[in-house]
This record gives sequence, C-alpha cells and structure tokens, in this order.
Amino acid sequence: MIVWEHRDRLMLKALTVENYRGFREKTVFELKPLTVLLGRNSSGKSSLTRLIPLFQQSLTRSSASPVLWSSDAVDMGNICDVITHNDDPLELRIGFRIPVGALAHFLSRYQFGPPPQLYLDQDEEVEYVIRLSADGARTKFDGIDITIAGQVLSIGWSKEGVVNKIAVDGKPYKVGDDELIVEPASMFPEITRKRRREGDVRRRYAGLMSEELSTALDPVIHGRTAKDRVKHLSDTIAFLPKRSARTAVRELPNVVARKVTEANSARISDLSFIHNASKIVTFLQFELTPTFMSAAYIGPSRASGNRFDRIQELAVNRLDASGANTAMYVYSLNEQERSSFNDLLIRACGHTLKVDESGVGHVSVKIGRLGQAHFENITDVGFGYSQLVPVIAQLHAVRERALGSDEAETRDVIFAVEQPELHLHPAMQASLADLFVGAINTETSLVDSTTIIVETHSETFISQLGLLVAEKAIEPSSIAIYFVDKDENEELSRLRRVDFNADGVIEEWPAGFFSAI
Amino acid sequence: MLSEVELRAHEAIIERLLYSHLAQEHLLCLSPLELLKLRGAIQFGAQARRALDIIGRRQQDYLASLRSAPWHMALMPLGAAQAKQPIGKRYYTRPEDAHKWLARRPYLYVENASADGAVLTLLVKAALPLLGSSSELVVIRLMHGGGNTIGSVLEDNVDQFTIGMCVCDRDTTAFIPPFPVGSTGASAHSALIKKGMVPDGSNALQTKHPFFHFVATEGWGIENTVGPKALELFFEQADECREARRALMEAFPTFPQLSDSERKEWNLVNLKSASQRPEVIRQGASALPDAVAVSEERAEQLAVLTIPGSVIPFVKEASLSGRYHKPLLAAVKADLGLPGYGDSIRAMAERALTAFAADSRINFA
Repeated sequence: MIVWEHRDRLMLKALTVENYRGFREKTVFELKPLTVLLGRNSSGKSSLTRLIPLFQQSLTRSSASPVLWSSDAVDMGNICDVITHNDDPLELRIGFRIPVGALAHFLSRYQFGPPPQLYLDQDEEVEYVIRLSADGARTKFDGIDITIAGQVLSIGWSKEGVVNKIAVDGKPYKVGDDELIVEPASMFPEITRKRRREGDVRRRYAGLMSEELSTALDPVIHGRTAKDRVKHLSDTIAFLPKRSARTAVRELPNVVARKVTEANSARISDLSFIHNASKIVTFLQFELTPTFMSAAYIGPSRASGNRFDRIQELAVNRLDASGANTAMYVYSLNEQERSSFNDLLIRACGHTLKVDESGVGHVSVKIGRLGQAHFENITDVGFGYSQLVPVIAQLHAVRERALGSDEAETRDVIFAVEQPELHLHPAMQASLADLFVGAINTETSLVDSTTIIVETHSETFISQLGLLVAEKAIEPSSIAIYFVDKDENEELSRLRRVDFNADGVIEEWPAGFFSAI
Repeated sequence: MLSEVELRAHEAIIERLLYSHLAQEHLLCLSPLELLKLRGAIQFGAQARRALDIIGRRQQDYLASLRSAPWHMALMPLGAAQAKQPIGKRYYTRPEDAHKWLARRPYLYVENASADGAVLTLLVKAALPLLGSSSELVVIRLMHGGGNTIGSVLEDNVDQFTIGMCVCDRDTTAFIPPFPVGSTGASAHSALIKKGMVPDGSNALQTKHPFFHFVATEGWGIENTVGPKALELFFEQADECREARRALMEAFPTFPQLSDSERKEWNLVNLKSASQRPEVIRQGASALPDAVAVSEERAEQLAVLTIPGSVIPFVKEASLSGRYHKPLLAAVKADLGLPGYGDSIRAMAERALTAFAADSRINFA
C-alpha cells in the first residue's frame, strides 16, 4: 500500500520564470520556509519577491487578463514593461511547481484503473506554466504547459479561446471534429470540449479525450469487452505517465497484455494526459488560489507613522504594501491578538505597542520598552520603529487573520517582505532573523506553516541566520539563500542558490559581497 | 573544536586574539558554532565582546576568505609538546607560541613605502577578489626600507615568528638569488638569512614558514609591475610624456596589449634607466626557462626604454581617490586579466592574504 503524505507545508514548492524582466533564461525559484534574496540594486530581487503580490492581486481582482500587472499591491506597468525584449518581445512564461503526490490523490478520486501514485515518484513535482505575450499593451494568454514526470503537455489557443494546439512532448494531437475552448482571463483557465454536432459543452471535470482514448484502447482491450465498459474506461482513465505506460496499461481491466506495445501505450499515455488536463488545471487552481490570496506582502517603501490616525470602520485583515493602515490594523486587534502582536514586537526590538484613542474619531500609536510604563507616540521615537512596525503587523496579520473568504482558506501562508531592515541598527536587524525563524517554527490557531520570502541587503541578518542554524533553532534545509546576479552587458539576471551547513556556514559565500567595492 | 573546559583554559589567548582582530592585525575566523561556544564558555570584556560581535556579523565573509587563503594558522590545545605538522592549508601552533606570533604587527617591507608600497597595495587588493577573498579583508601596513638599509630594518624587526612580506626589486635579468651585489634584494636576503627566516646557503627565496614571504619583483623593478593598461591610463593624462609613450609604442606596437613574449621582454627592461646594457637583456632572455630570442637590434631598442618617474606617484594618488581613481581600478582589473601578468600578481596576492588578513572595515560604532 502506498501512503503519501498529502499535506506537509506549503504546497507551492517553486516559482519559475522565463523572459520575465532580466530573467531571460528559465529560472527556478524554489521556496523554503525562509527564502532570502540577496543581490545588488536592480539585479532582479524585487521582481521575484513581487510575484507573490502580483499573483495575489491577479486572483483577487477581476480583469480581462490572467495577470493583473498593476493594482494596489504592486504596479509593474503592463506586460510590455515586464516581458523581456530582444529585437522582438519574447514569450513570457511563469510557472508553479507543486508536489505530484497531491495531484495524484486528486486524480485518483475520479480515475478508473491503477492509481497514478503507482507510477509517480513522491519527490517529483508538477509544473504548470502559463505562456503570455504582448498584444500591444494588452496581455495575451497564449497557452499553458504542464509537466509531470518529464512529460510535457502543451495547450495553445487563439485570442478567442479556441484551442489550436495540443502536443505532448512536441507530438501534436487533434480533438476529432470538436473544439476545445478555454476562458483565457484566468491563470487557471477552464478547458472544455464543445461538441460541434450537439453544441453542448462538457463539465470541467469531464475528460477531454474520451473518444480518442476509446479508439486508442480498442486494439489492446479484449474483443469481448462490452462497448459501455470501454467507454467508461476511456471516460475515467487516470493519467498514465509515459515512462511506466506499458506496465500501467496492462493493469487496466480487460486489457490483453501481449497486445500492449511501447507505441500504443505511449499514445494512450499522451491521450490520458490531455484527457485529464482540465482536472489538473482545476486542481492547481484549488491548491494555489488560497495560497496566493492569503499571502501578505510589505514593500520597501513604507509609510512613516502618523501622530494621529483617523478611525475607519473598515475590516483590516491585511496591511497594504506600504503599511499605511498599520495603525488601524493594530487598533482592530482584540486583547489576545494584541498580546501575540506584542510578542512579535518584543522579539524584534524589545518594545510593545498600544493604540490610544486620542480624541474623537482619532487614535495614536504608542510604543514603549518592555516592562516600562512610559509609552511614546511612534512619531517621537526613532524612525526605524515606524518602519519595523508594519513588517511585524503584516507578519502578524498573515498568521492571525483569515481573509474571511472560503476560497482563501489555507493553513499554509506566504509572507513576502522587501528590506525589512530599513532604518534599523544592525543589532535590531539580527533580531529580525530571530523573529522570522520564530514565526516559521510556530503555529497559530489559523496557520500551520509560514513561508517567508525576504529580500535584504543586511549582512547582519544573514550572519544571525548562521548563528540560529548553529544553535539548531532552524534546520539548514529550511533556508534557501539566493544571490541574484545581473550580467550588465547581457542585461541578464540569474539566480544562484547557496545553503548553510549544519555549523551555520555558507561554504559558497562570496567574500566581500556586502563590501562597498 | 575545543571543549568548553579547554576554551576556558585558553581564555587569555582567545582574548588576545580577539584584541588583535580588533586592532586589524589578524583575521580571527570563527564559525557560527564556534562563536556560540565561545560566548557560552567565556565571559569576555567589552573589547573582546565587541570583536566577537564583529566576527559574528561578518563570519561568512571571513570564512570565505579563510577558504581562499593558501594557509591559515590553527591554535592547538594547551600542553602539546610540539606543534603538529601542517595538514592541508592548516598550520598548527601551540598556544605557548601564540604570543610570539602576535608580538609583532605584520608589515610589508619595501624599499620605498611611499612608491613601491602604494603600487603593491593597489595590485594586491585588486587581485584578492579573484582569489575568492575581498580587498577589504587585508590590512597592509608598510615598513619603509629606505634602499639598502632594508637589511637593517629587517634585522631589527624580523624573527622566526614574524608575519609579513618583503618585496624587493629584482634589479637583474639573471636568476636570483644571488641578487646583484649591493642591491636592495641582496641586503634583504642576507638579513633574512641572518635572522633564520631563509636557510643559509639557500638558492631559493623560500622562507621558514608560510606566513612570511620574501618576494622579488617578476620584472626588473617596481615600474615593471605597473600593468600596461594602468600605464596607458597614465599616458592618457600626461601629455608631456608622449615621447616616452611613442618609444614604448614603437617597441611594443600593440601596447597596452602585450603578447606573452612581449611581456617577457618587458620584464627584462630596466624601466628606471635609459642606460641599460643591451647584452644584459639578451642574456636574460636566453636564460629564461622558455627562452626568448632577442636580436641585438631589438635589445638596443628595449634598453633605452624608460617610463616617466611620475608614473608611480600618479598610481599612488589615483589608487586613493580623485578623477582617475575609478579608471585606474578598471585598468588594473583589466591588467589582471592578462595572462602571465595577472598570474604573477595573483600569486603575490595569495601570499599577502596569508600575511595580512585582517578586517579593514572595523570600527567601534
């Protein structure tokens, strides 16, 4: 019996980009519980960090494009500002990787025949790539690629959403006389088969290639098998990876083993992949939408604290990217939440925060050293505090505040932050590492796991992580350090991953990285 | 890694090491784990705590530089009868001897601290990133030799536990040692023999241990050590030196590009003097391991080549600041990419890294 752990930490294992700003080459950005991006200015760190709010705003807001480049969280202009240009604009590819095990579980609910888990390696990942191009300033969604166990399914469609290309590992397939149609305004478009004769459109969970599979299965199925049974099999067949297709096809009911060849099993595998494409995309949507919708982001340009803030009766479950509504967030906390918020703040800087009503309709945020009765208005203390508090508030929000939408429900959250160390003394920068590691290591009533993406220029932050690894406060495998290197001549950004060893040392650390020279 | 008890036993020497780190004399490299153990085992004073904080903050840089150095020194536990033989890049010392190593600051001994020292410091620092270290992770203190008096300076300052480097002009096209009689190199060499740093009767420049180096310039003198692109930068701003440049261009038509054989010729030329004897160049060329044929006519052409005396002051000034600072750094970087020349500077930088590793960015803020 195969028992796969369906859910451990965050399902999203990696993001991939190609022809995305400076990342002309395919770049895999693997996410670990603490993912740190380092690099010189304009090397491309922020482009990667901002993928999180970019997907969040794309999934939250309705738009005609699958990716909403410009909205409240991030403003990237339009696709022409994002896509890498050579002489001509190239095709922008953005991908997501999740463990194949979860997908196999999902598919096995609908499948008939051997479960996909039998033929997939638990460590493998599914990659889903959306292919975009520029149509003037508009984003054109050209198609998707899905890669499972090294097998690549490509589906492309016209501007009107009519599928005009289906290929598995480059081999083209057709859909009889019917049409496959998609709704290209979503990152996870529904793919359905529209029968030309009857004019009906199948449900999203229906397979796409029943007829073709039936024809492909016919030569290997025992001749006396009832037509209905063959139809049922072809309607409900699971994805059979090509590398094990011959064995898998032989496991199907009523199949005559000796009739199964490399060639016909490979075709059945390809068709089973296309057949299940709609289910796979639906599954990815179920898994990834809550991940991005519940994520939180704080940018590098943060609002300074105000002496007074007007009370607004809006629900504040997330801060905006500049932390402008920090005061209202803190004001909205109940006693228990305020306590957990102050726990984070104490860890970061040894202070606590309170919000006093300072007049009719106004509040003021006050900060004081732990254990002291005296609190000062946040505008009267060092500027660093006003820059730190939004970071902590957003980290608190993502862990303690659900977004109140069923669609966004997840217990594994992502927090992306750019330069949390702004205006902080090195000692406090080190405390940020303690804070983030503490957040990763602890659950809340709403959240099982927190994944933190940090873009930083802080040497102290990295060194403190080394000490925390040496102290065994965090496993080295839970941290990914990326250097974003930009070749200025080629205008090409590349990611380079380094890791801590068990002693907290980064063996491939480039000496002088934080030097001025 | 020493145990907690052993660490406590080493408290004094560890505090001394931390102080020398803070004083930018040496680079004390501790892994995060070692740092934690030290903090847990010993209650340090304010300066030592500060040094530990700095080491903690820059540990990854320090450890990367340590990995790139050809040698580093490791402290043995107390009570060892004798130091262990070196293993890999690690040279062991007994704590009982450590105070001797720490007694003197590491110095770069040169004939002329102002001129030679500036050029060598610039080149070494520029080459360090190519080794995997950082230009900010060496502190080069210069000791002025004053020509032939460098011998006495070395005699006064060097013993078998001295860390540092001495760089002398070759002043010949022949093999060294022996250096030409009466030259700075000869004076330094005999002083180092006297102090036991170079074995008596030795024909090599090999020193007693890998933390003190005796180096002769690869070319005739320090002027030959200025890379061609750096020299070209000098000519670009020194209009009055166009005659010297023209002569160089005639002798080396692709200057500042130099082929391998041209570079060998370049090194044979005494660029300080226009009265070099041509046969010295020819003899030197034929004595090279991969000999270069130099005709009489060519030797005569090379023998009269000089570079202006203002080159070294220009390099010195531009190495610190000014409008030519960045162009000079770029020129030196390009020079370091030249085969042969770059290799020789990198070799010198490797030695300097062993002798002068220290954090130049230390402050008490």
